[in-house]
Amino acid sequence: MNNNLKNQPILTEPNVLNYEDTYKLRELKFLMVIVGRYQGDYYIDAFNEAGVSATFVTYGQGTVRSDIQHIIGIADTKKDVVMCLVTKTKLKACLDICEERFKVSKEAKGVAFAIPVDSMISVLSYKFITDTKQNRRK
Amino acid sequence: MDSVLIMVIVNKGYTDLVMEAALDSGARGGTVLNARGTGNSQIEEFYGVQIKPDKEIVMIVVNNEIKDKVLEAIGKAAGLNTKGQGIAFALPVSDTVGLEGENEDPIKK
Repeated sequence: MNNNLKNQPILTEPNVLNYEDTYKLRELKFLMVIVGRYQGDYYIDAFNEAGVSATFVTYGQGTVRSDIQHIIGIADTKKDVVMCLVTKTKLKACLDICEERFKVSKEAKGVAFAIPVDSMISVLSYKFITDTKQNRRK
Repeated sequence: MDSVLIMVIVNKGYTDLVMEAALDSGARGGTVLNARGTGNSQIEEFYGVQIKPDKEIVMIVVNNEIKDKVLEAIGKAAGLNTKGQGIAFALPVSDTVGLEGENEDPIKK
Protein backbone atom coordinates (compact mmCIF):
# COMPACT_ATOMS: atom_id res chain seq x y z
CA MET A 1 0.00 0.00 0.00
CA ASN A 2 1.15 3.55 -0.74
CA ASN A 3 2.84 4.95 2.34
CA ASN A 4 1.66 8.52 1.73
CA LEU A 5 -1.94 7.41 1.62
CA LYS A 6 -1.55 5.50 4.86
CA ASN A 7 -0.29 8.50 6.82
CA GLN A 8 -3.01 10.84 5.64
CA PRO A 9 -5.42 11.92 8.38
CA ILE A 10 -9.00 10.78 8.00
CA LEU A 11 -10.38 14.29 8.40
CA THR A 12 -9.20 16.51 5.55
CA GLU A 13 -11.23 19.60 6.47
CA PRO A 14 -9.89 21.67 9.37
CA ASN A 15 -12.03 22.52 12.44
CA VAL A 16 -14.45 19.67 11.83
CA LEU A 17 -15.40 17.77 14.95
CA ASN A 18 -16.40 14.15 14.87
CA TYR A 19 -19.94 13.35 15.96
CA GLU A 20 -18.67 11.18 18.81
CA ASP A 21 -16.57 14.10 20.14
CA THR A 22 -19.56 16.41 20.57
CA TYR A 23 -22.52 14.18 21.23
CA LYS A 24 -23.28 11.37 23.59
CA LEU A 25 -23.21 7.95 21.98
CA ARG A 26 -25.29 4.94 22.92
CA GLU A 27 -23.66 1.55 22.84
CA LEU A 28 -24.92 -0.79 20.12
CA LYS A 29 -25.15 -4.57 20.06
CA PHE A 30 -25.56 -6.88 17.11
CA LEU A 31 -28.30 -9.34 18.04
CA MET A 32 -28.48 -12.66 16.23
CA VAL A 33 -31.31 -15.15 16.68
CA ILE A 34 -31.12 -18.61 15.09
CA VAL A 35 -34.48 -20.40 14.96
CA GLY A 36 -36.29 -22.97 12.84
CA ARG A 37 -37.41 -22.11 9.32
CA TYR A 38 -40.53 -19.86 9.11
CA GLN A 39 -40.10 -18.83 12.78
CA GLY A 40 -38.20 -15.66 11.85
CA ASP A 41 -41.23 -13.56 10.91
CA TYR A 42 -42.40 -13.46 14.52
CA TYR A 43 -39.23 -11.63 15.59
CA ILE A 44 -39.60 -8.91 12.95
CA ASP A 45 -42.93 -7.83 14.46
CA ALA A 46 -41.89 -8.41 18.07
CA PHE A 47 -38.59 -6.48 17.76
CA ASN A 48 -40.37 -3.71 15.87
CA GLU A 49 -42.77 -3.31 18.79
CA ALA A 50 -39.81 -3.22 21.19
CA GLY A 51 -38.40 -0.25 19.25
CA VAL A 52 -35.85 -1.85 16.94
CA SER A 53 -35.56 0.09 13.68
CA ALA A 54 -34.52 -2.65 11.27
CA THR A 55 -34.49 -6.45 11.42
CA PHE A 56 -33.19 -8.79 8.74
CA VAL A 57 -33.89 -12.47 8.18
CA THR A 58 -31.72 -14.80 6.12
CA TYR A 59 -31.79 -18.54 5.57
CA GLY A 60 -29.37 -20.95 7.16
CA GLN A 61 -28.77 -24.64 7.59
CA GLY A 62 -28.27 -26.22 10.99
CA THR A 63 -25.58 -28.81 11.53
CA VAL A 64 -26.18 -31.24 14.36
CA ARG A 65 -24.44 -34.59 14.59
CA SER A 66 -26.91 -37.26 13.50
CA ASP A 67 -26.72 -39.27 16.77
CA ILE A 68 -27.53 -36.20 18.89
CA GLN A 69 -30.19 -35.17 16.37
CA HIS A 70 -31.88 -38.51 16.83
CA ILE A 71 -32.02 -38.15 20.62
CA ILE A 72 -33.27 -34.57 20.68
CA GLY A 73 -35.74 -35.34 17.91
CA ILE A 74 -35.03 -32.53 15.47
CA ALA A 75 -36.01 -33.58 11.98
CA ASP A 76 -35.74 -30.29 10.11
CA THR A 77 -32.32 -28.63 10.09
CA LYS A 78 -33.39 -25.63 8.00
CA LYS A 79 -33.00 -22.40 9.95
CA ASP A 80 -33.97 -18.75 9.89
CA VAL A 81 -31.22 -16.37 11.00
CA VAL A 82 -32.58 -13.09 12.37
CA MET A 83 -30.16 -10.16 12.66
CA CYS A 84 -30.60 -6.67 14.05
CA LEU A 85 -28.72 -3.79 15.68
CA VAL A 86 -30.10 -2.75 19.06
CA THR A 87 -29.06 -0.26 21.70
CA LYS A 88 -27.81 -1.70 24.97
CA THR A 89 -30.91 -0.39 26.79
CA LYS A 90 -33.29 -2.25 24.47
CA LEU A 91 -31.24 -5.47 24.40
CA LYS A 92 -32.76 -6.84 27.62
CA ALA A 93 -36.29 -6.47 26.21
CA CYS A 94 -35.28 -8.20 22.97
CA LEU A 95 -33.62 -11.10 24.79
CA ASP A 96 -36.73 -11.47 26.98
CA ILE A 97 -38.85 -11.69 23.81
CA CYS A 98 -36.57 -14.49 22.56
CA GLU A 99 -36.64 -16.33 25.88
CA GLU A 100 -40.45 -16.21 26.03
CA ARG A 101 -40.75 -17.37 22.43
CA PHE A 102 -38.32 -20.28 22.86
CA LYS A 103 -40.59 -21.68 25.59
CA VAL A 104 -43.68 -21.76 23.36
CA SER A 105 -43.00 -25.10 21.66
CA LYS A 106 -40.31 -27.49 20.49
CA GLU A 107 -40.44 -25.95 17.00
CA ALA A 108 -39.91 -22.44 18.37
CA LYS A 109 -36.71 -23.38 20.23
CA GLY A 110 -33.60 -21.50 19.22
CA VAL A 111 -30.47 -19.65 20.17
CA ALA A 112 -29.95 -15.91 20.62
CA PHE A 113 -26.75 -14.00 21.28
CA ALA A 114 -25.43 -10.45 21.18
CA ILE A 115 -22.10 -9.20 19.85
CA PRO A 116 -20.76 -5.77 20.87
CA VAL A 117 -20.43 -3.32 17.96
CA ASP A 118 -17.11 -1.50 17.71
CA SER A 119 -17.79 1.30 15.23
CA MET A 120 -20.12 2.33 12.46
CA ILE A 121 -20.24 4.74 9.55
CA SER A 122 -22.70 7.59 8.86
CA VAL A 123 -24.38 9.68 11.55
CA LEU A 124 -27.69 9.33 9.74
CA SER A 125 -27.67 5.54 9.91
CA TYR A 126 -26.62 5.71 13.58
CA LYS A 127 -29.58 7.97 14.31
CA PHE A 128 -31.90 5.67 12.37
CA ILE A 129 -30.70 2.54 14.13
CA THR A 130 -30.78 4.06 17.62
CA ASP A 131 -33.96 6.10 16.95
CA THR A 132 -32.28 9.34 18.05
CA LYS A 133 -34.69 12.24 17.63
CA GLN A 134 -32.81 14.71 19.76
CA ASN A 135 -29.03 14.96 19.90
CA ARG A 136 -27.69 15.15 23.44
CA ARG A 137 -24.49 17.10 23.90
CA LYS A 138 -21.73 15.78 26.10
CA MET B 1 -18.27 -13.00 28.92
CA ASP B 2 -18.04 -16.79 28.72
CA SER B 3 -19.09 -17.46 25.13
CA VAL B 4 -17.56 -16.63 21.76
CA LEU B 5 -18.95 -16.81 18.25
CA ILE B 6 -16.61 -18.61 15.88
CA MET B 7 -17.15 -17.71 12.24
CA VAL B 8 -15.55 -19.85 9.56
CA ILE B 9 -15.61 -18.88 5.89
CA VAL B 10 -14.90 -21.95 3.73
CA ASN B 11 -15.34 -23.10 0.16
CA LYS B 12 -18.70 -24.67 -0.60
CA GLY B 13 -18.86 -28.32 0.41
CA TYR B 14 -16.24 -28.19 3.18
CA THR B 15 -18.69 -27.47 6.00
CA ASP B 16 -18.71 -31.11 7.09
CA LEU B 17 -14.93 -31.03 7.66
CA VAL B 18 -15.25 -27.87 9.77
CA MET B 19 -18.15 -29.20 11.83
CA GLU B 20 -16.46 -32.56 12.38
CA ALA B 21 -13.36 -30.79 13.73
CA ALA B 22 -15.46 -28.46 15.90
CA LEU B 23 -17.68 -31.21 17.30
CA ASP B 24 -14.66 -33.36 18.16
CA SER B 25 -13.18 -30.41 20.11
CA GLY B 26 -16.32 -29.98 22.19
CA ALA B 27 -18.66 -27.72 20.19
CA ARG B 28 -22.35 -28.60 20.18
CA GLY B 29 -23.65 -27.50 16.78
CA GLY B 30 -23.53 -24.76 14.20
CA THR B 31 -25.44 -22.91 11.52
CA VAL B 32 -24.41 -22.58 7.90
CA LEU B 33 -25.08 -19.61 5.64
CA ASN B 34 -24.49 -19.47 1.91
CA ALA B 35 -22.18 -16.72 0.70
CA ARG B 36 -20.24 -15.47 -2.29
CA GLY B 37 -16.57 -14.58 -1.99
CA THR B 38 -14.63 -11.82 -3.73
CA GLY B 39 -10.88 -11.47 -3.86
CA ASN B 40 -8.18 -9.09 -5.06
CA SER B 41 -7.08 -10.59 -8.38
CA GLN B 42 -3.53 -9.13 -8.12
CA ILE B 43 -2.96 -10.64 -4.68
CA GLU B 44 -4.48 -13.92 -5.86
CA GLU B 45 -1.95 -14.07 -8.73
CA PHE B 46 0.97 -13.21 -6.44
CA TYR B 47 0.24 -15.96 -3.94
CA GLY B 48 -0.94 -18.43 -6.57
CA VAL B 49 -4.26 -19.01 -4.82
CA GLN B 50 -7.46 -19.10 -6.78
CA ILE B 51 -10.49 -17.90 -4.88
CA LYS B 52 -13.62 -19.86 -5.68
CA PRO B 53 -16.62 -17.57 -5.35
CA ASP B 54 -18.97 -20.13 -3.81
CA LYS B 55 -18.55 -19.97 -0.03
CA GLU B 56 -20.25 -21.13 3.09
CA ILE B 57 -20.14 -19.35 6.45
CA VAL B 58 -20.28 -21.57 9.51
CA MET B 59 -21.28 -19.95 12.82
CA ILE B 60 -20.58 -21.82 16.04
CA VAL B 61 -21.15 -20.48 19.56
CA VAL B 62 -18.71 -22.13 21.99
CA ASN B 63 -17.52 -21.67 25.54
CA ASN B 64 -14.52 -19.36 25.92
CA GLU B 65 -12.48 -22.16 27.49
CA ILE B 66 -12.54 -24.40 24.41
CA LYS B 67 -12.26 -21.53 21.90
CA ASP B 68 -8.55 -22.02 21.15
CA LYS B 69 -8.94 -25.78 20.83
CA VAL B 70 -11.83 -25.46 18.37
CA LEU B 71 -10.07 -22.78 16.29
CA GLU B 72 -6.91 -24.87 16.09
CA ALA B 73 -8.85 -27.97 15.01
CA ILE B 74 -10.72 -26.00 12.35
CA GLY B 75 -7.45 -24.50 11.11
CA LYS B 76 -5.92 -27.94 10.75
CA ALA B 77 -8.99 -29.45 9.04
CA ALA B 78 -9.93 -26.63 6.68
CA GLY B 79 -7.36 -23.84 7.00
CA LEU B 80 -6.06 -21.62 4.19
CA ASN B 81 -3.43 -24.16 3.13
CA THR B 82 -6.01 -26.93 2.68
CA LYS B 83 -8.61 -27.36 -0.06
CA GLY B 84 -11.26 -25.83 2.16
CA GLN B 85 -9.37 -22.48 2.13
CA GLY B 86 -11.02 -21.54 5.38
CA ILE B 87 -10.65 -18.34 7.38
CA ALA B 88 -11.74 -18.65 10.99
CA PHE B 89 -12.10 -15.97 13.67
CA ALA B 90 -13.83 -15.53 16.99
CA LEU B 91 -16.06 -12.65 18.08
CA PRO B 92 -16.93 -11.87 21.70
CA VAL B 93 -20.52 -12.61 22.70
CA SER B 94 -21.93 -10.51 25.53
CA ASP B 95 -25.36 -12.08 26.12
CA THR B 96 -26.86 -15.45 25.25
CA VAL B 97 -30.32 -17.01 25.45
CA GLY B 98 -31.10 -20.67 24.80
CA LEU B 99 -27.64 -22.09 25.50
CA GLU B 100 -28.37 -23.14 29.10
CA GLY B 101 -27.61 -26.84 28.53
CA GLU B 102 -24.33 -26.07 26.80
CA ASN B 103 -22.14 -27.86 29.32
CA GLU B 104 -24.30 -30.96 29.62
CA ASP B 105 -23.82 -33.93 27.37
CA PRO B 106 -27.17 -34.76 25.67
CA ILE B 107 -26.19 -38.41 25.18
CA LYS B 108 -25.71 -38.94 28.92
CA LYS B 109 -29.13 -37.46 29.80
